Amino acid sequence: MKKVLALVLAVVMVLSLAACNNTPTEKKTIKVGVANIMTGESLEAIKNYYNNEVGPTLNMEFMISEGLSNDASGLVDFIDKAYASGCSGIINMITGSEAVNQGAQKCEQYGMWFCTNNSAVAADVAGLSHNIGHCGADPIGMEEAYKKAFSQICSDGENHSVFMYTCAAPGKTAASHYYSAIGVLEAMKETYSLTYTKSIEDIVNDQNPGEVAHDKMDQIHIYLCPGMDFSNFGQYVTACQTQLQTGNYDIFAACANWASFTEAIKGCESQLKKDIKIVGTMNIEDQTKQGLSDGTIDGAIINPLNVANGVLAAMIYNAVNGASANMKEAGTAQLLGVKPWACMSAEEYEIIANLDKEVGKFVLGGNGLKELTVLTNKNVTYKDMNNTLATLADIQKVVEFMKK
Amino acid sequence: MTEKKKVSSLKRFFESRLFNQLLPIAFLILLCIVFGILTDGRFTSLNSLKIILDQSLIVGTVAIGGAFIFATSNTALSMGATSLLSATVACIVYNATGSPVLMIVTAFGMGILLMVFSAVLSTLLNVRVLFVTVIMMALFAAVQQSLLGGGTVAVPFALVNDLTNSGVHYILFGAVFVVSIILFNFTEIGRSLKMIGTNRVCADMTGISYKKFLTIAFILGGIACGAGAIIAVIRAGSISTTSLASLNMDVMLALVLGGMSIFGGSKSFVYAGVVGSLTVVALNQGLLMIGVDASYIQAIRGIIFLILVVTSQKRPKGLPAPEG
Repeated sequence: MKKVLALVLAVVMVLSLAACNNTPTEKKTIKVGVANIMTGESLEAIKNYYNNEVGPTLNMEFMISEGLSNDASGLVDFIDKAYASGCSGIINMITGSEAVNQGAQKCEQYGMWFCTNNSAVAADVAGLSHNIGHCGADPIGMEEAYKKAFSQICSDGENHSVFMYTCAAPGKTAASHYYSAIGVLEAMKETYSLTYTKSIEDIVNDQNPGEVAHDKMDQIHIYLCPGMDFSNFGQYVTACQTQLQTGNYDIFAACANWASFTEAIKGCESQLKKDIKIVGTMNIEDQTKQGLSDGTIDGAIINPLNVANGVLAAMIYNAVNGASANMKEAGTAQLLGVKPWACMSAEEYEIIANLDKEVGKFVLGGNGLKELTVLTNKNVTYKDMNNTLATLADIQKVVEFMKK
Repeated sequence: MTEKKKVSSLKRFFESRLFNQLLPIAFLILLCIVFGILTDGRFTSLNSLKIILDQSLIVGTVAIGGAFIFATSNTALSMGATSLLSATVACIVYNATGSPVLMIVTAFGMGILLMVFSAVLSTLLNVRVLFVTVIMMALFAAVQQSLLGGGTVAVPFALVNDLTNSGVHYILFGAVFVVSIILFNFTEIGRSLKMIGTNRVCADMTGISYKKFLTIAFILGGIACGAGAIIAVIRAGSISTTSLASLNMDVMLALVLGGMSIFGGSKSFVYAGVVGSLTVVALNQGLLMIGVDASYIQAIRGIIFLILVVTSQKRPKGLPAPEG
């Protein structure tokens, strides 16, 4: 009896040990909070990308906020929630410099990795150990794209006047907006040989909306309208409508939220019986395609929305896996720039129309995304990531890159 | 006891002030238990509870002041704008002087000044508080925008860190809370405000001056707004034109969720806003922690709040209501 019992116990013990050895060791999922400011179609695009492409590829889980306000308090509250939820890092899409400073400091306190989707390095917090960098629209790329678009539109020999919503340009609150406005002013200056009464930098940094003073104001009008008060966005649409109704302007430009102005512009077009060209920073989405097809939009400066988002996820991945130093230069956070694509026609847009919208068609997905991480490239640095981004400036090269 | 008497006792209990006060607290406790279970204890960890408290401080503090005004059966819509302008001026004063004490004093002073301004206009011109405060809300926001010029005003992170580590925000909240409890429940001020809210005509006939006590309510509201302003600066370190944008609505939601009667009067209690604020934040945090998509959180919150409000709000049967 004792022998039988000993045998049974021995068998049970062996089976138990075997079961323990066979238990698959699950790789820990990296949980990341995304402090998001988008709503509508743009938000759905971000969620689709993070949840269905990046998550399965890199074994990451994303906690995406509802559309936060563009200030520090919303970001700080979200970071608190993310910390309580067990997130290892924050991808921040709130671009205000004070918000970035506060967010980085908060994450430093909590020991969470922090990176920002914007186009400028926050100097005050660049040296924090958990601030691993920035990725956004390449500011010089934005300037070049707007300059190219406006030079093309204004090259017909006619006098053109522009109303531009510069959003967060003053003080480089959003660097991409700042350089977009610079690009427009430079294009107008070169095309019409204008002499501005102030430097272009001073003009763009002026927080008060108004007409830009130059030596040919009887022929060419340039009106800049900055503003980030999204709780009272209607005031900018009203300002746009008021100026367009004077009949002095035939180009509308916006470095953000262009779609919010279209109804006002259409009203002015039918009232004045003139065509007002629209040029703006846009995303790969149906309303951009529709606008280029039906002639509503004359120039789309496309920010490939999810390329920066993918790079930021890769940065967090690398930091969590011990490669945070590779994301910096001598301990200082760096800026990685995503070059915009300038589409001046529906045909050009058609090449990229289906990009970045569904699994399998994301510019940065699958192996392309893995190459930016220590998962496949143990020594990857921010410079390697920047080189990859530089190749993505050319639409044809994007198509080749996606075949990886 | 006969069935009829039992039913009648139950009905009386559900309509009583005690039930109004207990239901939100019971709901909050239930919420914590449910989320604690669903998150394997992460929700009820010390860190998580501290974060919930920190996030509810601003709304909770301002709501304490709001309770004094709500008790008089009035609605003040300018508390958010008052806190915002007070915080803005306080930050500007700090940047000019480098004195945190002056910053705090300025916040309180501005809060009281702005709220008293609203009260004086209402009592002097005999215009309902609601209408005056709507106008003040727009006016204060415009003043703040012209002060900031579309930008932000920030204080150094070192100051924010020092104030946070010193627990200044907890001290401010605690002081406002304790003093308000005493004033509302144990002094003539509280009794008079509740009487005015129950029936202004009767209050007037018993010698309670509406103008005097409304002004006192607004002063206390202003103090709470000033404290809320400082806590907001400590939380975010900077103030922009979009900061505290939804504070007034959040305060009203917190008060209603906390069981405060929207009609004011005898069923008012001053800590309703604190309970309501904690409930809102706990619900937000809990839903996020269990993985609910952010898009659905608003909808779920709305349904829960609707149920809570419907079960707790009932027009009190009493003397004829004030006109208008």
